[in-house]
Order: sequence, then structure tokens, then C-alpha cells
Amino acid sequence: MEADDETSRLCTYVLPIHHAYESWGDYQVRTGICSLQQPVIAPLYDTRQKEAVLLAWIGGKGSFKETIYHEYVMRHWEKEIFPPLKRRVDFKTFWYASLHDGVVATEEKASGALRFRSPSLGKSGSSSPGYVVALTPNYSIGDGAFANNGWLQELPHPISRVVWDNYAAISKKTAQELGVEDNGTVEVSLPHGTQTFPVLVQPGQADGLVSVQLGYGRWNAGSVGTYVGANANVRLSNDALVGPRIFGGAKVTNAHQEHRLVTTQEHHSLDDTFVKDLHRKREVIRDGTLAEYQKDPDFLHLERVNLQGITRQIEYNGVKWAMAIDMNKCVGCQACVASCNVENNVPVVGKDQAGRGREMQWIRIDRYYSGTAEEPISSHQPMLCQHCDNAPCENVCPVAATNHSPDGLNQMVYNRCVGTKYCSNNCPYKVRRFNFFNWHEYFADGYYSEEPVNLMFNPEVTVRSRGVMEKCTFCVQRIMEARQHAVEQGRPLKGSDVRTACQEACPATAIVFGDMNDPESEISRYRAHNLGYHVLEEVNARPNITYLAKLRSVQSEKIS
Amino acid sequence: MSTAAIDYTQEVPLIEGRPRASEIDATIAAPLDEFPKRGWWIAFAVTASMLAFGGYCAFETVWQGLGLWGINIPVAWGFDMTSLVFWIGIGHAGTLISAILFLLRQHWRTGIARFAEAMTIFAVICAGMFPILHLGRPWLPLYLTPYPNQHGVWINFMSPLVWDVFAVSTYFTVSLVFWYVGLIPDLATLRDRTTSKLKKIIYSIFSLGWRHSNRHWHHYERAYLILAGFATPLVLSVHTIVSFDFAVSVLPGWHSTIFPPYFVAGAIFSGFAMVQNALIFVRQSFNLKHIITLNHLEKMNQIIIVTGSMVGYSYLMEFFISWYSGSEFERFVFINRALGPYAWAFWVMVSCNVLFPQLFWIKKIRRSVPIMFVIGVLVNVGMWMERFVIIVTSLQRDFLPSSWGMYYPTIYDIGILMGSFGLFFTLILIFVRVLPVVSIVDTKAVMEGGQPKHH
Repeated sequence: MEADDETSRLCTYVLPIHHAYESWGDYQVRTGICSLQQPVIAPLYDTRQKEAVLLAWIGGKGSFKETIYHEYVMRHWEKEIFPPLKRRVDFKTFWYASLHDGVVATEEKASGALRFRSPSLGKSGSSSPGYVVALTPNYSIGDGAFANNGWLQELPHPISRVVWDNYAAISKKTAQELGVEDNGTVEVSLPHGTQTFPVLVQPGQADGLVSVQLGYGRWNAGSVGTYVGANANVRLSNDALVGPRIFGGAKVTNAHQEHRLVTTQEHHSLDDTFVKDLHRKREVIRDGTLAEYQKDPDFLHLERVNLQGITRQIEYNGVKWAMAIDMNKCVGCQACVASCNVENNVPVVGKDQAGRGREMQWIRIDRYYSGTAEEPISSHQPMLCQHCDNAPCENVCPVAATNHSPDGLNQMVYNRCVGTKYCSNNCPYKVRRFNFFNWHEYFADGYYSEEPVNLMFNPEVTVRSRGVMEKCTFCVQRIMEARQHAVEQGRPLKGSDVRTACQEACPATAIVFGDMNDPESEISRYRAHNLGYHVLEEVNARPNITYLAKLRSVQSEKIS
Repeated sequence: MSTAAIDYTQEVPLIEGRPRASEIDATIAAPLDEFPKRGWWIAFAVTASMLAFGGYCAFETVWQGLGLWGINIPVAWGFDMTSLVFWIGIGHAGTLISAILFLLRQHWRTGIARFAEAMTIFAVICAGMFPILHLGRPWLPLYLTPYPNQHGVWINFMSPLVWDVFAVSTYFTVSLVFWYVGLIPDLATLRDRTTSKLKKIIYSIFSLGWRHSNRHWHHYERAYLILAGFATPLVLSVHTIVSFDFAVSVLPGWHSTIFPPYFVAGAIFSGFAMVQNALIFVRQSFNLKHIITLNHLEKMNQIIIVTGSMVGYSYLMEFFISWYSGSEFERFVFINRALGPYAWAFWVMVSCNVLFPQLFWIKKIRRSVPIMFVIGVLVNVGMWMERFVIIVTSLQRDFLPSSWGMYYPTIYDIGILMGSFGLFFTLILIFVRVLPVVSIVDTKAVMEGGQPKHH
């Protein structure tokens, strides 16, 4: 968190505190589970833990010492947590065991089930004419607390794929009423103020509803987040229709200005027959209904063709890495993208460069619409390097900078790469990312390469410089670490020893990773699943990511 | 000579007006002897400024990064590869004229061969600039060559870009040697007639002791024939290999077996248009109308119709095959070319390459200098556009609709393209002042009475 923000400007004193990595703490994760936090690094700067500051103030002059809060937490556990557990060990043993495990189960029971206050679910009283305005927290930067985080600003909105901006989302019909289009602006008048927002015509949006995300437009958020988007937080009010965020009777007019919203994926008109439903026609997204699946579990593969190549296929006899993604589980939340960014030192490029199609994320979640603008069906598909056995990128690289490992990884040798970009042109999945500039230096005047932000870099992963291609490595650094452990322990490396960053982050466990040559492994079961398919199978690149087709529970027999 | 006067039952004299041998020497060497006039300086100032601006844009690109260009993911090649293919194509006319037409005993080539060969070399220099500038790390082009190194890494012989390196460097070397060997007797002639001491020294060094002796001529003719034999396959191979950059990929719109012949025809097409354009200026400025005659220009226009029709046929065939293939992706790419966001570029290409050159079927147009000049310019606009269409429209909307994008060139893209034209014309302007634009000895050889006749 930046020390100099809107709040600190209003304060007389600003005290620097420890980062979470430098702090002690304890948490109740949920009822019956307690957890401990211990520092993982020594304090980098001359700071104090927030709780220690408060304790020192309570204790008076001279009471501060480095371990003040550490001892406080320990005393609290000794008095409050340890005795009711009735463990047959002394506290010291218990304490170290708890620190080691990280969690302790207590006897505490939840105090009865919570209930909805059903009257508040009733129909809203007001039905005043005009538009309804809904203020919603942003998926990545929340209410604005994380506005200065470039990775989060550049995380595409799961549906609209907009980055670095908030906007007024309106339906196609409303847009026609107002006479605005994408990248136009509307003036939204609420009783407590009037504000202009850029417009995004959102398929599936209710007519007459304008939704605007909170958390943008901060005026002193730091090098990254200042003046990104428009500040809708100031519109929060207790005079709202429901809660502080939903307002009725708003006046909305066309503001006749241009404001370019940047998305990481083009959105095509759902009326244009030329491009409509291409993802289905091309079998990029395959889905079906539950009924179809129950009738014939292998319904997807009725027309499967057996592709043949004229070249000899390389045999992989040891561990061979592969991934499966279950599109039934994926909700498009982008957690995998954020996690990958952090793990792999993926640079932030900023709004202008993202608008030029140069975002660097190694994994992206493609969103496709089908159906109509009023009733769209959206599909989410995490797309990353497929680590193809017949990788089209590999044979075109003149310097052999991208090549194949014996365990089935499509590798990038940054040192060797000269940047012809031919690999990207020949990649059917367009998952390769190019360092058009030295991004860490380029973005926000080198914010990401200066202390302390540069301490965020993962030391296990090369920080790429200008002019080289990069892409998903299947977290090769984790594979190497796991292999080293296996060697140390004198056992063979197993597929389950490695978890990729995206896999770890996925809250729905939609991503499965492992050794496809191990018939017992989870990945092998996924690969053999009836719903499993490969994207663009007919190119015969032999990709190693298996997608599990989405089954939709719909009334009609066929999905539109 | 008026249009109606040509009698095709008689052999048309290649050199008009029956000049004497010494007059030919004097006419061709005239630009070398006199100080350039105002017109030349104006032209030079324009081209040198273009070159300087291009140089600045290239410097900034190397200094800051490829982000200055309009390229992105998915369109990772833009003006760079378009211009590379364009310039390589321009060079092809020179090789065709100097090698194939020589082997086919087309004596009319004499009037245009020297200039076309020089153009080949300059065009390959312009082309060679782009593969280096388009690298993310342009300071490492050596990695593309198979040199022994401590890392034990080798180039990837499966990559068409590696074939390109060999094809283009071979092409440049052979073209340069061929051109230089052809220049030796002329350099000796210039050495013998110059009065300047400095020029004498330079010409002496480069004429390699040529004395016009029978023995020299004998060796020269042999060497020239062998080099023509060397260069002939290059006319076909170089652009074939350049087309492999695309044909070998899996991308719809690139992955096509028609590319090699289609690219070679297109290369000769645009090359001839460029030679025709430039020679119109040269024959006008240096009073060479009796040596580079209207008949020469007409013959070039005839080649433009032939190759232009081949190109048109290829366009048609690409569409037919994409339909016939039954592939969803192939069909989409071609419909997208004709109707998508870059449809304007496609229709510029079709009209410039297929429609306008067909006007050359009309003899009056074929022999009208202003009209042929305009059509020649249009052909080159169209051929540059053709490569742009192939590269950009195929990349911008490929397999996954999620990764589609657009390509908008920046001032740096345009600047470097301009710079390449600046470089090309600057080199030509220097060339016409330091070397004979038409071969002196060959011209004498095709004069009436230049060869012994037995009938």
C-alpha cells in the first residue's frame, strides 16, 4: 500500500508499518479453525508492526521492544486457545506444533444457523421513472483499495474483458434509446450528483439498468492507480433504493464524448452472421446439454477424425506433463491469471499498450458470446500455451530458441531468442507474448523495477528483457524444484509432486496438472474422459491441454 | 519512331539512329564526366531526406524497441515483412533480365540489363535491412548464421527464416559478382578515356587489368555464361524461399502450395514495373532514348501483362482452393480479405495488379510513356499491398476469435518504409553518376553491323 494516498494527505502523522510478510498475527479462518501468521522475512526498513505500535502506546514510554506483539500473541494463545483444548503437552510444545502446522482445530461451535431477513428480499417499494443505477465493486481492485496494483488493473474484467477502466454498462436497447455506442459517454444524474462515464454495451444487461464499478478514479493512489477510470465511490449514498449502491429514478443522457475503453479481446456484434458463433463452428468451445450427455456420453466424439502425420512421432517414456481444464468448473474469475502473473514475473504494460494488443499475460480467459444480445450465453475458456507435441512454433524458429523437452514441455530459451516473432505468427492459439519494450522499465517510469516493488520478483524465474518472446512454461521452475526434491529423496518424480501456479489459485479446482504417462494419475483420467477434447485438433499440433466440454442444464434439447 | 512504322517482318534495330562506336562511348559516359545538374541535386535532396528520416526511425526502433511499430499479438509482422518481400521482389526483374534473357539470347536486354542488375543489388540491400530491423534484438543477427560457438547451439534448419538467410545472401552475392563481372570491360573503357588522375586510379583497380584482348574476351564470355547459369535458378529459388516463410506455416491464408510460383510471378511483375519506371527517367535525363528505346519499354510492358495475369490467376485460384478445400478456416480468411476490415487494401491490390495492367493489351497504351509510367507506379503500389494483405489479413483473424486484433502502422513503420525508398533511390542516383547505366561494350555488340553476318 502506498504511504502517500488520499487518506494520508488528511493526516498529521503517517507511521510506516510492517508488511504482512514481516508481521506476527493470528486469525480465525472460520468457526473452529485458528491459524497463526509468522514473519517470513526480517523487516526491510525501519518500521514497526501496527499492533506493536498500539501496544507500546498502551504500555507507555519505554514499553516498546521488538518482540512485544509476538509475546502478546503467544500469551493470548497460552491463556485463551491452549487451555480449552486440554492437550497433554506443555504450551511450548503446543505452540511450536501450531506454528509448524499453521492451523489448530478448536472445539468452538457455530452459534446456530444464520437466517435471511426475508422482508428485505421483497419487491423494492419505489418504481420511479428513469434509469436504475447500480454501483458494483470491481472484481479485481475491489472498492479501490488495490487500485495501485498494476497486475490487478490489467486483469481483464471476466465478462467485458475491459482493463484499466470502469464504465457504464448498458444494454443494447438502452444504448439505442440514448443514442450511444461503445466508447461513447453518458452523463448519469443522481439526486446527489452528476457524473460522466464511458459506455460499454453489455450483452445480457437488463434494459434500463446502468451498472458502474467502484474503486476507480482515485486521485492519489500512487504511480499506477492515480486517475484510472472515473470515481464512482463518491456516488455511494444512504439515500439509495436498496443498500447504499442501487439508485432508482436516475437521469441518463448522451454526453457526446469519446472515451476509448481498452479490452483484451475484441467483442463482435452478435448480429453479424460473418463472425457470430465462430467459436462453436470452429469447435473451439464445445458444449452440450445434460440430456445429450445422458443419452450418449460420447456425443462429442461422434465425428472424431484420426489425424495422421508423415513424420515420426517422438516417444515420451518418462514423465510427460499435461494439463486438463474442466470448463464445467471454470467461472472465469481470473484468479489463475493473477497467480500466474505473480509467479512468473509477468510485466504490466499499461492501458495504452494493452490497447495495442501487447498485454503480457501467459494465461488468459477467453470469453465467447452466443445467442442474442438480450439473452447471451457466455463461455469461458482459459487459454494458455498448449505445449503441443507437434508445436508449430518450434519448427519455424530460426535459432531453435523454442524447442521441446524430453518431458513434453515446449520451452523458451530467452538467451537464444532474437525476436523474429515467427513463432507467435505460427501459433494457432496466439498464446505467445512478446517484449515489445523492456516492460519493467517502460511501465510507469520503471515503477516495477525500483525498490521496493522489484522485491516482488520471483527469484526462480528469469525476468525477461526487451525483444524476446515468452509464454507459459507449465511453471518449469516448480517442476525443477520438485525434481530436485525427488532426487534428494532418492525416489522417482511423480506428476502429483508439481502444482502449477494457476492450478493452485483456481478456487474451483478446474485446472488439473500432472504426468499423462502415469495411468493412475488424475490427469490421465481427465484425458480419457468422454467430454475431453483438444482445441483446434484438426491443425494436428497435438496439444497437451485437454478441455472438458461444458454441459449446460437447459430446458430445450439443443443449446442455441 | 511512330507506332505505325513498326514492321514485324523486319528485325527492329535495337539501337536507333545508327550512332558510331565513339558516340556510344560519349553518350553513355556523359553523366560520369559532367558535374550533376540542378535536377539531380533536387532529386538527391529528396531521396537523401527520406533516407535520413528512415534512418532516424530505424535508430529509434533499435534504441527503444519494436513497441514503436504498430505490430502486436496477433499481427506480429507488419510493414517490416511486407517491405522485405516487396524489395526482394523488385530485385527479381534484374536477375531475370540479366540471366534468363541472356541465356535465351534476347539481345534487347542490353539496353536495360545494367540498370536492372544495379537495381537488383540496391533492392536486396533495402530488403536486407528489414529482417535485421524486425528482430526484437537486432544486435544478434549473427545467431541466424551457422557459426561454430562455445554454446554448441546450431541454427534450426527446419525454419524457413534460415532458408531465407541463405537464399537472400546467395542472391546478393551472385547478383553482385554477376554485375561486377559485366562491368569490367566497361570500367576498362572508362579507364582508357578518362583524363582525371583519381578516376584513372580507381577505374584501373576495378577493371582488373582488362586490355580488351581476345583472350580476355574469351574468358569473359565463358565466365559470364556460367554466372548467368548460376543466377538463373535464383530467379525462381529466392522468391520461392521467401514465399516459404508463409507457405510453411500452419496459418490459413499463408499455408498454401500456390505461393512459390505466385510469388515468383509477382516478383517479376513488380520488378519490371520498377525498371520501367526508373528507365523512363534515365533515358529522358541522359539522352539515351536511342539506346533505351520505346521498343524496350514496350517489351517490358508485355512482360508486365504476362506476369500480371499470372498474379491475377493466382488470386482467383486462392479463392477457388479455399472454397474447394471445405476448410472453415480457409474460407473465412478469404472472405475476410475481400470483405473484412482490410477490404480496402484487398481491392486496391486487385485493381492495381489485375485490372490496370490489362490496359497494356492496347498497343497505344503500351507505347505511351506517361500512361505506362502511371500503370507501373500502380503495379508497385498493388504489389506492396499484396504482401500487406497476405501478411496482415491472415494474421489479424486466425484460428481463435478471442485472439483477433487489428494492425495500425505508426509513424516509425511509415518512416522506415520511406527510408527504404530513400535508400534505394539515393543509391540509384549515385549509381547513374559513377557507373555507366547501359553496358557500353554490349551496346556496341548489338549495334547494326556490330556482329559479323553471314547472310
